Amino acid sequence: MRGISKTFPTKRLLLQRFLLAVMLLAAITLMVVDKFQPQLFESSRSRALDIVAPILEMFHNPIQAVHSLYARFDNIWNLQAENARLRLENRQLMQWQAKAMHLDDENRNLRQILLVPESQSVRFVTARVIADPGGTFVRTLAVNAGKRDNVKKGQAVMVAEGLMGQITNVGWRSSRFLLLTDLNSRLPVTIAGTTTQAVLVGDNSQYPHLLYLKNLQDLKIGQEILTSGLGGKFPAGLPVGYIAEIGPNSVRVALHAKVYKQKFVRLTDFGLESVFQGLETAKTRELQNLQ
Amino acid sequence: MIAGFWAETEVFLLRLLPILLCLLLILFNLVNYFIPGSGEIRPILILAGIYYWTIYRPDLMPYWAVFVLGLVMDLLYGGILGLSSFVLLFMVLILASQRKFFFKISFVIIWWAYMICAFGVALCHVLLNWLLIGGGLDGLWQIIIPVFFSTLISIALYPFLHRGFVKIQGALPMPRYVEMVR
Repeated sequence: MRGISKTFPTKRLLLQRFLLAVMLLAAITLMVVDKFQPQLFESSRSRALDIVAPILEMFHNPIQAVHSLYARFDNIWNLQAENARLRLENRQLMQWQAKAMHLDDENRNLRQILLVPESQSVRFVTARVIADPGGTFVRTLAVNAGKRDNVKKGQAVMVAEGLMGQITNVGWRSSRFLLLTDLNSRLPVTIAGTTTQAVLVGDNSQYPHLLYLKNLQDLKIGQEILTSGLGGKFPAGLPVGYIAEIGPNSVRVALHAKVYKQKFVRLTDFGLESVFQGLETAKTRELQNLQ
Repeated sequence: MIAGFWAETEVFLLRLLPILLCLLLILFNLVNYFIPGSGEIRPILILAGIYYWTIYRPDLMPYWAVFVLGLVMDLLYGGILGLSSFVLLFMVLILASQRKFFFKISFVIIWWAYMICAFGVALCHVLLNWLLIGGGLDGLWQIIIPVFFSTLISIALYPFLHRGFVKIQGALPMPRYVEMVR
């Protein structure tokens, strides 16, 4: 009995420590592999999200009910001020509506004269935000639409206020999209009303900054930032945000789409293929022809 | 025979409860609460679970479970795969070596030790992410502030989780001696 109590825990301890060492090495190997070949684990990430998506939707319902109740009380409390604001906004929008109709008419006539081909209609899917899996290091959101809803990687994620991000991971019933504030986000943009182009770069803060600006002196706070269409990922003219801060070395942008408010998003297929996707497709076709 | 089978099944499921609780904590962390800033500042609830069960019932939180929970975290949160497993296993290794310190001490000391663990884990996360993702010194500064506040919230929530775990521990089957030795 004494012999057994002496040897059995020791062997068990050794085995446990050996397994621990193996697991630590496995974790380090996974980190290195994921760093250099992130596409290897893409399908695992989308499958994991697909499995928990129904549970997350179940958790989402009571939280959304509480939030709606709070929003209702907030609206009642601020009813008078909100009413005045809406009346003013309505008057402004009626003026814009008349102008927009006139411009639309003029645009159609000019397109007919110049024989410009009709642009393709945009397809979109409305999806509910079911999870905020990001955190400090990764800024992503998950939605309850996937391959079964014709969602594809690279599609734009839009809300009423503007562009919010881009689909990066697609599962069968759920998808993950990268926010414009994420460290890996790069978006070619232009400053509205100018020919100035830049790249909107996320840095995991709420205010991404602009890179490759030629002249900071011409910029003003409040200027609109729109997509430039360069790279072919998104069409030109999608609203992104406005200049919020002009520092000595950097320009910060406040995004129109506020992440915490969004319950529903639009996954929009503009029918565009980015330059890099196009190059990959051409290369694949060339290899197939050679074979 | 049948009664014996159901009794064994019940014991088996109860023994899985701490791991399932930690999985539930991972899912709670995923939910969108529609609060401004809740995306960046997010407490790591699973840390409390792994901390508690490693100290009081290490037989129900084996190393392989910590490894798998870390992998699930990374897969769902979109972080670098293996990073959470590495950091959590490291924390568990240190806790397991210091288990004797946690016997018959007040809750305040346990909470204080949790605070050290939480900051340690946060620091490891920040450094490893910064090394692997990059971002320069500016990038490091952007990460440190939200991580600091996330850690503070994790520490503030610990007493409530601790109380819940204590209640659940009462319902769990007693451990065998050999399983408690690490």
